[in-house]
Amino acid sequence: MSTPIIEVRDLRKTFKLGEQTVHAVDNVTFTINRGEMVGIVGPSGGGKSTLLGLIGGLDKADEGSIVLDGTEISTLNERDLTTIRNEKLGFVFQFFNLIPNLNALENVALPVEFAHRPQFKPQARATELLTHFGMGDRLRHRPNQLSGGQQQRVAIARALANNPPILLADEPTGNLNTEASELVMSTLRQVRDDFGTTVILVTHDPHIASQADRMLTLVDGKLVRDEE
Amino acid sequence: MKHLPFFFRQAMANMNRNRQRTIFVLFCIAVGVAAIVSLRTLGLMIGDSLTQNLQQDNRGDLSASVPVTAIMGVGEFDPELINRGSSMFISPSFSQVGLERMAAWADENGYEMTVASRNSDTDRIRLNQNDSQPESILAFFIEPEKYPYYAEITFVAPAGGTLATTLRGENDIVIAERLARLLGAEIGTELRLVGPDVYVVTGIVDDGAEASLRDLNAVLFPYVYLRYDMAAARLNVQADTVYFKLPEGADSAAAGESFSETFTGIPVTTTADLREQNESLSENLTKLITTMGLVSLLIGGIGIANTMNVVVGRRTLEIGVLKTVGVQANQITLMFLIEAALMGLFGSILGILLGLGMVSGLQSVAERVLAQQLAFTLYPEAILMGLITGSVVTLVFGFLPTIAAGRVRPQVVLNPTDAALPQAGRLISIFVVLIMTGIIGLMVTLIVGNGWVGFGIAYGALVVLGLALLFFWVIVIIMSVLPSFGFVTIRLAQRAIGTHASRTASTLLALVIGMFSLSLILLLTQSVINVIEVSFAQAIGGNVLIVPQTLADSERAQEVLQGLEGVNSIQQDVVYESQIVAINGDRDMTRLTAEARERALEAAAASSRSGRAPDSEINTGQGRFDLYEFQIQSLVNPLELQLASHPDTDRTYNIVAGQDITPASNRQLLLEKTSVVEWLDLQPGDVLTVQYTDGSEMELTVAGLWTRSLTSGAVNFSFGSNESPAIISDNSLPPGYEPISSPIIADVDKERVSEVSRAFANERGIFVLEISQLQELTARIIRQLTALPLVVAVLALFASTVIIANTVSLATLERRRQIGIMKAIGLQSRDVLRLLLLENGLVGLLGGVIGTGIGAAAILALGIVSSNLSSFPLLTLIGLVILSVIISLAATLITAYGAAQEKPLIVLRYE
Repeated sequence: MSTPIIEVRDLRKTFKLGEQTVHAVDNVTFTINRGEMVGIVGPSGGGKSTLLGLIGGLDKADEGSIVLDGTEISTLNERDLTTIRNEKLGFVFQFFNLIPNLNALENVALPVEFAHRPQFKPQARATELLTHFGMGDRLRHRPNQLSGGQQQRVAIARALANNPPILLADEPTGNLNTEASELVMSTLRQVRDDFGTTVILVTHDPHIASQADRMLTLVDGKLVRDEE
Repeated sequence: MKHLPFFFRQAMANMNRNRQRTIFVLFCIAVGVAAIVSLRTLGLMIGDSLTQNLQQDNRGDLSASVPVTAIMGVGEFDPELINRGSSMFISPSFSQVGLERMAAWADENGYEMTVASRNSDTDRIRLNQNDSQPESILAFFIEPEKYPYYAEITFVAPAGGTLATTLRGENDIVIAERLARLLGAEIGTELRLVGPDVYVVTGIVDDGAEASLRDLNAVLFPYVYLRYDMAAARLNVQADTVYFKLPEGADSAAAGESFSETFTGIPVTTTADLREQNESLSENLTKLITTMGLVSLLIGGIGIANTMNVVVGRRTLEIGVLKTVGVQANQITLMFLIEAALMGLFGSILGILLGLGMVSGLQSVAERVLAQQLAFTLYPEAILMGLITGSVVTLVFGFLPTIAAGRVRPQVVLNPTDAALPQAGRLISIFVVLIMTGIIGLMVTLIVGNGWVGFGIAYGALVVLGLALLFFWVIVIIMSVLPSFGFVTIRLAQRAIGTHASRTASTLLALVIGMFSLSLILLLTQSVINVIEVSFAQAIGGNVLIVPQTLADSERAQEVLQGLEGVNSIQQDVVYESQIVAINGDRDMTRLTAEARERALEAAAASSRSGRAPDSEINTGQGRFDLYEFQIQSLVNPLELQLASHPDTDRTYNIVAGQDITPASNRQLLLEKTSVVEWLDLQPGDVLTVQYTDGSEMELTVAGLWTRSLTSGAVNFSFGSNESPAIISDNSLPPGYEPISSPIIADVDKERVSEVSRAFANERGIFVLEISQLQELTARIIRQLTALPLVVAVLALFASTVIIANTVSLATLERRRQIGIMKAIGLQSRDVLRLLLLENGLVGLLGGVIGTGIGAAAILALGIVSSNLSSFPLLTLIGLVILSVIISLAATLITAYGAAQEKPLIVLRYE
């Protein structure tokens, strides 16, 4: 369990906010190994979400390199980035971002149906994952018929649909009560243990972050602490 | 009210912030307003051109013409005044006696008079330049020194020309610009009428010089001017119209009355009559045109309602925030209302500018259709109407969503992801819709000038639109649950359509209205053209019609045809004319026909449900005449005869009473069993005394009655011979009796048709008509007549296109986050685009199928193609459905391309 799956080197991203230039990510370097569960913490505006966006190929870095599972993604075009997202990455968001007119099963099946190299049958895969996360009795429910914790578990199942090596979670418990938060965190640990998925989660909650194997702290775009 | 400035600022800022959406809304409003302004302006322009220059239009203070019914010998005119004409090749005209008496009447009263021939047969006179394709034309034979009494004919070339300066010699001809274009003729070009005489073009006049709504012939055909004094002799044309000029200040109405008293039954038009006719005509025309404009605005209204719904829906969070800081529900409604009002105002102003721009395009179409010069004028009335209609309609359609906005609960701020727009409440919705429909009804009332009609239209439209919306809503729901055959994109598209079922339904409605109006007009045009083509082919049985004037000409024509190659078959119908002067020795034809008319009325009463005879009087605009009398007279006088021995005599008849005859039978005749024969109570064994045109009489015995065994298409074309009701044995004619017409129908190899026309170009007294040319001509006329409604239909469709673009752009705006999610989980841009295209392509397909389907159903219901379903323009129908899909796809591509490029990063942002 010591092969690196994410290698970030000298990463920089700046924004212009009016007259001011903001260094959202400032010369950050780190490596994450396969199967690790890593929490990224820091104060609001510290650059956590920007870093996650860069790793997830949702945004382009100004400088530096990101290697995901052997692929350098900072030079890829939008098309290839989409393929990477489809095959190597799963996303979980604070506000769940389920598609409202599709039910739980269809939401989870969607990435499989649009898989660039399909390895599963969409329906079967979605049923399997949802059942695995204890949602087997909610397959035909629409998002607005589910609680927040349930929606987030559907979102996690969707993120894992194509069995990606990496799961990125942006404040996955930010919109949930304590009980639901605990449930979601245990689900994420389950993901790591059962599927060997590398999990990276961004949070501002130290208690949540402490449940990870490793914690990276970002302040003003700089990596100030990296602890086990 | 003290917050008003804040609301104004807020509304302006909102419109500016959502620029793309604002532009679409403005466009929606503008298209409707533009339609209203341009069509209303056009209507007023046509009205003005109709009611001004009445003397010019009438060509004099008084104009009198031969009654249209003269050819059938029906009407209460003095027969001495008129040459009745005969068959379709010689039109009625004033007799020499008639013209002399009218000249005497004018002299007596101190009026000036000029004579003209306007209605001489169009088929007979054609232009033929360098053996090129002949054109059917209208020839006006006039006295250039006097005609017209008022105003001048506008000359295109030579500049400042007049008829008096250009028509000087017997070979001078002045032609309309359209004809010059068709033939490529200019001043000095040599042209030929049928026959060997060569004419030289000495002037070209504007197309509008003769055409008016009173003379539709001149609107439809290109025309020429010739000198009456010289052409009359050469082409055997007699005057059928006279114009009088009264001294300054004389009472034209009184002069008209005096004329009518002196010359009973001759229709006369005074400038006052013309004013009355034209005013009512222009009023109806303007109403019609404006109502058509309202349709476009109605479609625009649907777009406005959709947009306002999204405008409010997208801002529920913002509304929630405003509520938490203490803004009242009614203030929020007011804020959005102000925004709607501003958009209505700006959209209307844009629409007025657009509409005034469109007038020039519409003007040229209308000028072509009506062949009437129109003067562009700014009508404040039309502009004001557009402004008010646009603003009011925007407010009306935007009102419900703004009420919904006021009802947003402030809690939404706590959970921004399910900030759905609440319903406005059923009772309030119904109330508002009824009130708003009332406002629209008031506007229609102002346009139409009748409250019942106005409110009837508005509430009727409300019911119809409501039912239509419900219907489409059901269809959309059904479509969204149909199997997707395992295609995930289809399922996603179905879901998206189903989620916004009511919005999709209203978009569909807009598209269906647009497609329906376009398909109705196009399908109608094409059906009529197809039916005519088929009927021509069936009825004629050849492709060249040759019409000799006399028996000698006929023999010559046969000779020429024998010498030509490529002639496959020749048929000739020879028709003789006579008149029934006595039945069974009873010479009181006036009483006999009156009795027949009574029987006709009785028969009509017996078959009608109410037990009363329908009104048989028909107003021709040139006096009234009786339909039954007309039918009876057209059998009695003239009675058209055909020889039993003639090889082409139609042998497809069935004898239904009495017995058949042979050519050798002694003075016997067969009559077609028509209702007229029944009314006259004619039976086998009855004896008819017929009078021939040379004055001799003969008694013929009715041997039998026959009916046609073959029925041709719904439209029957009579060339004077095919339909002869009476077949006679050979010795029933006086010796040496000349037929009234003897048209030859030849079937010629296609590539040799023009050779045949050329072979007859130098023959006087024989004219040749290519059937294909006749078809082309009818098709051209039909297209010309439908050009104006077509423009309106295209406008309506254009409005629907804007609605679709608007709906798509709104839908994609709403789904920016959704598109972001899809891209985050690995959908490519083209997957997203394909999804949106599929979604709206389905709507386009459905709209096209329903819209053109209703159009097609209407055409079938009208029964135009009933007898011949193969004439149904299936290709046009398919083309229209494809057009509908293309329109939707194009609208989607334009608006959704950008959305499909949405950066997936959006999913990490919360606005």
